[in-house]
Amino acid sequence: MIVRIMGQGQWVMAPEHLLELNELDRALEGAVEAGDEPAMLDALMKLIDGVQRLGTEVPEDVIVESDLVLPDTDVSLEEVRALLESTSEFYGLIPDADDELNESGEAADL
Amino acid sequence: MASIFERIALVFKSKANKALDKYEDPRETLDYSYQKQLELLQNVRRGVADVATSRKRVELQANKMSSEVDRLQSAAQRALESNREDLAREALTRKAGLQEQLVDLQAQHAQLQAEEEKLVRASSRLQAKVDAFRTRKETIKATYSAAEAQTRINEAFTGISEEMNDIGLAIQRAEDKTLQLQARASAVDELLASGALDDPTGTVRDDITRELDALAADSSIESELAAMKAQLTGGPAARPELQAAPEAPGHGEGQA
Repeated sequence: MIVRIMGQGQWVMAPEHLLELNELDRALEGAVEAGDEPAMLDALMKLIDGVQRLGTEVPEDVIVESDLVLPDTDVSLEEVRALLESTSEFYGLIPDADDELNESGEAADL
Repeated sequence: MASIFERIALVFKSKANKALDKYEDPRETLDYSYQKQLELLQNVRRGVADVATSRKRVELQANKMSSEVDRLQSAAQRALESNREDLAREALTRKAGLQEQLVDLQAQHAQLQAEEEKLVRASSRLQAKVDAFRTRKETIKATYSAAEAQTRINEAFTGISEEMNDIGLAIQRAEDKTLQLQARASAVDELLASGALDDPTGTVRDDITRELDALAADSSIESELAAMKAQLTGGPAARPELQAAPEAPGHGEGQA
């Protein structure tokens, strides 16, 4: 899996490492839904730290597409929401779409 | 780990696909994209320069403000020595207000510095990728027909397109932040220029300075007088109490 941290570059993650970060992913999602910016930033910071610690940075001269994209730590809740809303053209703004994505995503991780 | 981050990744992918759809001959995509990459690289470098300019400006302001703080500190000291607690209090109040602004400026400075470092790294990353892309582009064009090249072009293009989108967003955000900080920096500049930095009305500090200067002039006249009298009467040791008097609390009014 290739993970991009916006503005910072890309990291290669082994599947077991991604699983390790799952808990944080859920915390972050919950925080975004609850509109809790400090909790969101806290989870995001830990996630980014985890990716950088466990992953291997993609060399500068390698061009590769990412499977996952994480916002940078200086992002605001509004900006994360705006990013998510721009994906609504694929999924609409139906709350169920989140769960659907969640399941398919977890299946892909395993 | 998936949902939110897959969705954000989709934003990047859809942008790449939309751009790809525009071309009949996929090889055109490569040249066009390369042009765009070079432009973006220019933008990133300009962005770095802009942030650096803002950072330096904030640095200068912080220095000025810091010397204002020192000046007010010594003004308070002088005021107290002249037995003017009211003036000393005023100066210290000003100083406290200024110190708050200074802390704010220092935070801005740290922000700008982090932003600058990030952009510098992004710029070198993009440069490396643009170089890699050019090599790949030439290989693809030399080796494959338009039909054969499609897959490889898609691969090369979507990867670089994601990189460009990301850096494009980073530049945009850096610009927004810099603009905000510049607006605040302008306000501080105006305050520094008007000399009213430590007081919105610009009158009280002038009073402090004027009064302290007057006191200083008085006391220097007093000490000159004292020195002259001492010479007349045969040595400074003969009349020590005249020189010591202005500093002694409680005797201030008597002296003035």
